[in-house]
Amino acid sequence: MSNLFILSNTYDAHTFLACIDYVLNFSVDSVGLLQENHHENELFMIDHKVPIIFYDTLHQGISNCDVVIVIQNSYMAQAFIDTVLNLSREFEKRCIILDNPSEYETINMELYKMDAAKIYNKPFILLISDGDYTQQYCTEVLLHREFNRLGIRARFCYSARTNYFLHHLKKEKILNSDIKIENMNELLDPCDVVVWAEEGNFFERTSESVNFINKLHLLQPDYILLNINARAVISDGDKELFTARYGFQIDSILVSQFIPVVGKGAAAMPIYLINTSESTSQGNISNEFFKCNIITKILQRISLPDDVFVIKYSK
Amino acid sequence: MLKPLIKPFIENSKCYVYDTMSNCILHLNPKQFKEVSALLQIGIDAYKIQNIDEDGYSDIISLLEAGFFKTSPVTEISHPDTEIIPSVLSRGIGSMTFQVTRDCNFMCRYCIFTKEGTNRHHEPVNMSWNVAKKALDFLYLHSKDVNEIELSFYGGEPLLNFDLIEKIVDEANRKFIMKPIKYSITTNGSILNDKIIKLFIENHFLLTISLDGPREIQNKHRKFYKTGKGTFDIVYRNVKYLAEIAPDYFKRYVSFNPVSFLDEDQTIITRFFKNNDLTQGKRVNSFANMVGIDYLYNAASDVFNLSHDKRIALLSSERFFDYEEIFSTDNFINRRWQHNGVCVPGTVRLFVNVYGDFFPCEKVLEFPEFSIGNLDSGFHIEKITDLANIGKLTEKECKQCWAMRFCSICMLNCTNIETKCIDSKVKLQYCTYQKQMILIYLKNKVKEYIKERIDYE
Repeated sequence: MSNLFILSNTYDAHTFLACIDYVLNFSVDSVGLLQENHHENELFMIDHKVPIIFYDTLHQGISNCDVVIVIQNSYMAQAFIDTVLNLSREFEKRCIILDNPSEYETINMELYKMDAAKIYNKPFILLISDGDYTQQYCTEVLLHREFNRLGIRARFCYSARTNYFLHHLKKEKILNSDIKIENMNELLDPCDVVVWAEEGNFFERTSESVNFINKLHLLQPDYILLNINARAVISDGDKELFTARYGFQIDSILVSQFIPVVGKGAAAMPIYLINTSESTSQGNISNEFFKCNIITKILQRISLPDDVFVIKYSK
Repeated sequence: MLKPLIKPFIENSKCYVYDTMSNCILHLNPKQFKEVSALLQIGIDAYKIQNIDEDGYSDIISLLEAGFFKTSPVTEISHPDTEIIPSVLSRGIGSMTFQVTRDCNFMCRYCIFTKEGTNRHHEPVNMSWNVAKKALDFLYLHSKDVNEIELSFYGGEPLLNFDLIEKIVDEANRKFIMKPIKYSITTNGSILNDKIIKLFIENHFLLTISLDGPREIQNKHRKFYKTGKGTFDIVYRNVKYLAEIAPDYFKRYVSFNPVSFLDEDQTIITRFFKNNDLTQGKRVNSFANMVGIDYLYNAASDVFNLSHDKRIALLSSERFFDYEEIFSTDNFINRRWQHNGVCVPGTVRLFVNVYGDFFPCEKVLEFPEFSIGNLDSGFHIEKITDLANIGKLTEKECKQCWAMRFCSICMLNCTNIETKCIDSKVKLQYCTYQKQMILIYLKNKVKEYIKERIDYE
């Protein structure tokens, strides 16, 4: 049981806290955040029994916690990180410094993912995102948690950023052992469903989207879940375009809590939206009801009655 | 009548047309050019049904079929962030400018503070610590989602209230634990003592010193308020001192802002800054007759009646470098559109005056009509939304404007000083001027292209 103190910007805090009680290999008693970056009226995707406490100073936050977790970003000064490390040492608290998954450049994960996905006749769920600040990480860990809870053996091919972040957690020895990221060993484990996550701009015509067409036809997804930020508008026409281009339809859309706003120097800044508009076809990622609804839909699509199995064409 | 969004022009006796939707310049022969003019006059539908058996006509039809000469898709002029203005104002304010004093020890030729009727004039009024602290608290509450904070200090001459600046810096450094703070200040350079320099160095202040050029020019435009004497010697002495005692800081954080009048010989000013060791490579230029800066609107020649050469001189200033970026970028023009240049007031550089009233930035005149809130009542969301949607003033014209990609009009360019309001007539007047400047830019691009081809061949 641990009291956490998380030091990050607003977007990273909200994203990282999603299912944190599941992702970490210890239970979380409370989560402390800096008042500088948060309002009390924000909604966090964490078990409602875990209180969120807002601190004005580092001293207060570190002295009242068991573990300090710093999620770095390019604006965070080294002097600040040094102060945190010094204070953590002074109060004898564990301090973990994590790289920012939002700022991580994607690496080529194709080979590993294509190998891991070569499971024929298994249901295939595809998670994609379009644009920045989509909080796709939240969807990936949420699905992992739900499948685990339901006893469904799922092989996850995470998006590059999520994979990188989970590797960091594993390196710090705080990652839930149920979340497997040792690629080679995983290939041999039996599974019931494959979940593949991809980030990109699939509505634009780029070399990336062209390559994606080939992948999709190889992978044959049974369910496609799209993550977007709160500024993106996916019309019925866009969905039809996606289907026409890729041959598959988007089944559900999850909207993040953030809207990118172009600030100074043309760098986009994610602004947290307290009120988000929702429709029946897409919902906010913090809406528990909507998320449960998606899990139900996925399961309805991929689960089959006993003794029924699917034979798919494969090369 | 559907008209193409284009601008035909002639440069060096050759014919060209700028095509807005494809963001490119087409070279045409005289027959084609004549047809383009006809196309513009009668509209696309009427032009197509003519079915004339002539080369020029069939060429233009081919270009239409190839996707050139499209009509404007814009059906609504509005700021793209209109719906989220409350959220952005609630959490996305990262920059604040403090008017720490209205007092000044200089009297500059162009300064709007010396002009009656503009609601800005020199007076020994300082911002109180109570107002400054409230402003910082306000910023703390409204900056949750920004990654860094920018604090600037303004006046009059801000260093006349240095004690307050020092207190603000202390409080800000204490309050903002994670977010780095960038401090900046523009000063006339007459008050730069050791205590001030120490604060600047310790907090990495970006320091801009207003220096108009060599002695004769500086002393002509900037005099001491009390004595009427020239200011060059004192300012230059302070600049030298700063460079000697803090060379690293000087190199990285200090720049100069000469305010240039177009009735001055620009080569003298350029030569001064170029040949002087202290100022070399550190010049950030402003033109006194550019509408929108806090300068007298008629301080120099009427900007709308400038000669061609003077416009070229203006074009070379930093302000028009944005055209280069726009021409090199292919942004999609949506049905919902507003010209560049319009910020959501308060979100780029929130200005807090000595009394705690908010204005969109330090360039906006302090008329109550332009106030967007204050420290007690917060932001006036409705007014901010109206100011953000300033394109609606001239919606009809903007929807069909060939220069829509390049336009950078903001509320400053729409201000009627006499009536103290935003005025569509003033906006249209500035619009005409801006289009002329954009055309000069496009003609320059043509010249560059031809020169490159000649060099290549």
